[in-house]
Amino acid sequence: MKRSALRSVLLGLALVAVGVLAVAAEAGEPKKGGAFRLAVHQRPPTLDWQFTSAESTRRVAIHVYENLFTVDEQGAPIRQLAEDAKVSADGLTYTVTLRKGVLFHNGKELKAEDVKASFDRFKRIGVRRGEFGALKQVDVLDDYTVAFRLTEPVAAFIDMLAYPMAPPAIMPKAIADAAEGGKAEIIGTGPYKMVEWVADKHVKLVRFDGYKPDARYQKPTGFGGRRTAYLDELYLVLIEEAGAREGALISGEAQGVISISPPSARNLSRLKTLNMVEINPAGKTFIMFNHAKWPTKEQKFREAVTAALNMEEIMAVAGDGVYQLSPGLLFPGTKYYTDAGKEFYNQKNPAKAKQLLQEVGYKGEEMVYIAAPDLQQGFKAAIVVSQQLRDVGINLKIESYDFGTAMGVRGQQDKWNLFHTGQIPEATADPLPWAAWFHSSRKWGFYGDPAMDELATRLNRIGTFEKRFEAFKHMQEYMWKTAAFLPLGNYGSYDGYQNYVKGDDLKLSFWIPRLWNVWLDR
Amino acid sequence: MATSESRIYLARMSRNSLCMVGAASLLLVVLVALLAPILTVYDPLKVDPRSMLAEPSVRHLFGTDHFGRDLYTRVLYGTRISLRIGTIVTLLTGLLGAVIGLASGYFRRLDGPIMRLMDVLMAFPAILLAIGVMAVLGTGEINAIIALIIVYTPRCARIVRASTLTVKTREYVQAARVLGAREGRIILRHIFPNCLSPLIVQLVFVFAYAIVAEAALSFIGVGTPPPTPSLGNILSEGRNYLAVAPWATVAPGVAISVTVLALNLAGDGLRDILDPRMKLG
Amino acid sequence: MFRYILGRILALLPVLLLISVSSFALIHLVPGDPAVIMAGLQAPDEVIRQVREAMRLDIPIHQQVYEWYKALVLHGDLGHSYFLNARVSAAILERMPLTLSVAVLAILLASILGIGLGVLSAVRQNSGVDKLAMVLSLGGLSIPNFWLGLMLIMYFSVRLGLFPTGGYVPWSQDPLESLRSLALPTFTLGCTAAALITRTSRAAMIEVLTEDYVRTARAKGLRKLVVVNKHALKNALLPIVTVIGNTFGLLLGGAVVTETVFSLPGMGRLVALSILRRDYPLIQGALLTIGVLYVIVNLLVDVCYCLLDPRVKFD
Repeated sequence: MKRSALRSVLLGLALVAVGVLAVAAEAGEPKKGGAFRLAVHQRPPTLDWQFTSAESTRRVAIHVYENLFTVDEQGAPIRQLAEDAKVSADGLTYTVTLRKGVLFHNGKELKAEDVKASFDRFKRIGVRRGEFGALKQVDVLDDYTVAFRLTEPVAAFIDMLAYPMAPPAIMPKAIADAAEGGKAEIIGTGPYKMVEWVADKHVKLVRFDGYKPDARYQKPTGFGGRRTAYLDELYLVLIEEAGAREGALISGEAQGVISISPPSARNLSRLKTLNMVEINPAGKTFIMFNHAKWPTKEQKFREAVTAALNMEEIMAVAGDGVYQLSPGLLFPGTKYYTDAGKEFYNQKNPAKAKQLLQEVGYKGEEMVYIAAPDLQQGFKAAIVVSQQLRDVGINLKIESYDFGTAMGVRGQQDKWNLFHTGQIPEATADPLPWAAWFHSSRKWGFYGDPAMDELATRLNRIGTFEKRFEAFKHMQEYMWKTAAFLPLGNYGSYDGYQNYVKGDDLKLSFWIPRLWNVWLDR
Repeated sequence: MATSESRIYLARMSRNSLCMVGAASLLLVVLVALLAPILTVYDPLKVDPRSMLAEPSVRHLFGTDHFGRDLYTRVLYGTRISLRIGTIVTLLTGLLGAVIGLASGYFRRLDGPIMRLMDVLMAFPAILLAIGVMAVLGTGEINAIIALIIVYTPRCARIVRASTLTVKTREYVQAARVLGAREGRIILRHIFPNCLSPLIVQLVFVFAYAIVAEAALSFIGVGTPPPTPSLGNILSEGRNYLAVAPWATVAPGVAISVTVLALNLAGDGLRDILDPRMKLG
Repeated sequence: MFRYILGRILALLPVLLLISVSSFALIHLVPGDPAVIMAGLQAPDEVIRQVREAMRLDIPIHQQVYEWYKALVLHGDLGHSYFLNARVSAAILERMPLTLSVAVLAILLASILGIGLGVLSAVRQNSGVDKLAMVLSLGGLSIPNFWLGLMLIMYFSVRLGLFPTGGYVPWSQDPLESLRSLALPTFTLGCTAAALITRTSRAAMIEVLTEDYVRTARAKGLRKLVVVNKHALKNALLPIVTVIGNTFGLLLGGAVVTETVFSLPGMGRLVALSILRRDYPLIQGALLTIGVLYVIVNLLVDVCYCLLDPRVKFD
């Protein structure tokens, strides 16, 4: 009798132990299913990743499209759709083999012809096509191999392919051949597929069950690696007003919300149900000059603007107290970061500004400063900037447009003098996008300077890190000396999530939220 | 106006206490707005990152906004801008409305087409019409003023026209015509003065509508551009910090409400005084 | 009566014509290239070219107007918004029901409150109720509705958590949540309307109550309530119905700001956003739709006149 009682007790204990272990294990296990609503503040102008550099598009695109290469957690290029890549000795041919068995959302398998067609389209309508001037053509060698033929060696070619802003995203040949810029049907190879886009409301993505996580990696990294989609549905819901976004988080209607101001985040972090994530730096804000229109086309005038500004004041307001002062085009902590030209940054010298204005003959003509309220931090910065410039006698009028529209107005030469914009870190350590933007072929702000072109082109050609770093330093210095563009500084922000949103040891927000390997634990 | 008339009006006015309250409040608001630079030491545009979103205190009576700007100052200057815009809109609307109304009421042939045009303009709700006009003209303070003039003129024109039609048939007008007086003279000396009372009452309300409308337009971002304070754009900026800094949204709203209330009281009172029969207007 | 209605419709036709023509003219009045304006400032060159072809800017203007009318009347085609990448009519139809629901709910609330309060104050002139009604209605008229909305959000949503701070939950998804999300906006819009209706009801009732026939009825000894309901109210309804009709227009305009404050995806908010985006085809379509809607509401008011007062006929 006693022995059987002991046995029952032991059995009972064992069962309890198993039960406890099971529960403990379950709390950490990813759960498939559920709908995730991410509240975003900007409306994507299009979902065609090749066609626009807008951040709002990227938020959707990273879930839906893939590229031959992408970036890892440190911003370095890694393989995504590419199985292997070889460079010829003369640097003019890159041979890339593709992974086999990768499916598009329409069920078709990824083949070399799709890659070629995607690149051909990119060269036709891609917003970054100017950077790829050296790419002569893409050849299909066999079903899973392509060759990139360059006219001259480009040391950073793979980095260029991996850079996640308006990349040559891979789409099926049928779509790539037929679709005009901005009008492509959204079919990619990513872990989620796009099913619905209601322009003013949301983008709806669902898990793509035909997706095979990349077995070459142990876990996700950056925008690639081994990615698994656990959520059934992912909605990127447009809620422009900050208060309403926060309301959606408080009420539980949204599982994640981006771009929460620091004061609100401090307030919200008191709620036990929420998890506030600080993103610092969350972005850089800067001013573009119109180099084709008086008076901003005159270097002295631009120097006056640069001299007048008090960056501390601007950034403190823009970031609601969470900010970094930085004269660099890249972000501190990245490989190529440099503060070259810092003597021109944060001059706080209204007297000098007024002097320069007099010298250049500015008589108080009204200037247009375009700023988009949906840029949030940028808009606040613009208001402070306009105030500081008015104090030195520059007659400014702020015109507000939705950022997508603002980009369109920027293309019209006589409609603006100053344009406020920003950039988010993108986890890239490389100065290539700046080389591309500053090159006269891009006509960014109608800027074109042969000396700068020289520096920019050089940056793409040379190979070693030291030489490239030197070249970039010169570029940045030249920019400051000629007051070509005006970075104001970096700001921080917060994203908020419900605390039942769990991820596999991955920062949920990697500059922009990544919602793979994320599940709802409830 | 004859002295006996004005004495009657004044008598009525003093008996109508609400109107006095309204007029007095209005005077106070105008005074405060005009004296704004004296009533505050701060610059409404000066940014102060060290005191962003500060609570109301002795240093900052209404607290500060997210730029560190003193809200009491901004509300004062905002009221100033609102009143300025209201005044311009009201005066020009009155002028335009009077001209159109008189022309329409007096000249038969012009009446039809003019009134059709007025009907069309009145077929749109005020804010929507203002937005429509600003879609063509562009955004900003001046364009908002033009848009509001276009929006409110038809109401005034209607009222002036109605008075004109009534007065036109009166004996002394007929007499003047028979005697060969020029049309312009008839209109100005005989008809117009009789349109004044209802027009003035309507204009007081137009002033109130204009202030609210400009605030609404600035609120959605198409009116007075930042950083110039307008009661509407102060509200719009404060909105993003509603949970954290509610004072930023209370003060401008109170300012608008008080001003409009004063105008409504004054308008009601004026209507009672000038023509008690107009109650159902 | 049928002739009366027909007459009213005919009288409205020139107004409708002018509304539609001015709406068409919008795009052409804006300075700049109409095709760029139509396509949106950020449109790529091919799209602009397509739009230019579709707009047929080469044909004489009166023919363009004719073509526009044909598309409008035969196909209900209000043009294409390149911004939303949708037909304007589809975008409007999708958002109109929400705006109309809130407007109708607000008018119902306002009418019940307004007529009730107005009649009560008229019957008990200068009493406590009357004074309260006057104060409330004055307040309702003076307080801007977008500020009222913000204050309500601050107190009832942020502080008390009784209602959501914004956004709309469709009825089909969750009826209770749907009502919760509409409660504050309806109340906000309803307040201004209620204020107007209260004042008009009160004034109309007072006017009628002092009329001879009412005094006669009272003198004859009829109970006050009977008098009020049977005789007075019916005659007072005329100006009340007028003001309700006018208020509807006010609500449609007020929806622009109210929907912005409460982040409701309705027509009003769409118009507010469209102006920031310079989405002209949409602004054009919205103006036309709302203008026509308002004209129809006025027609309905006129029809009510006819029903309420047999003396009113086609003039």
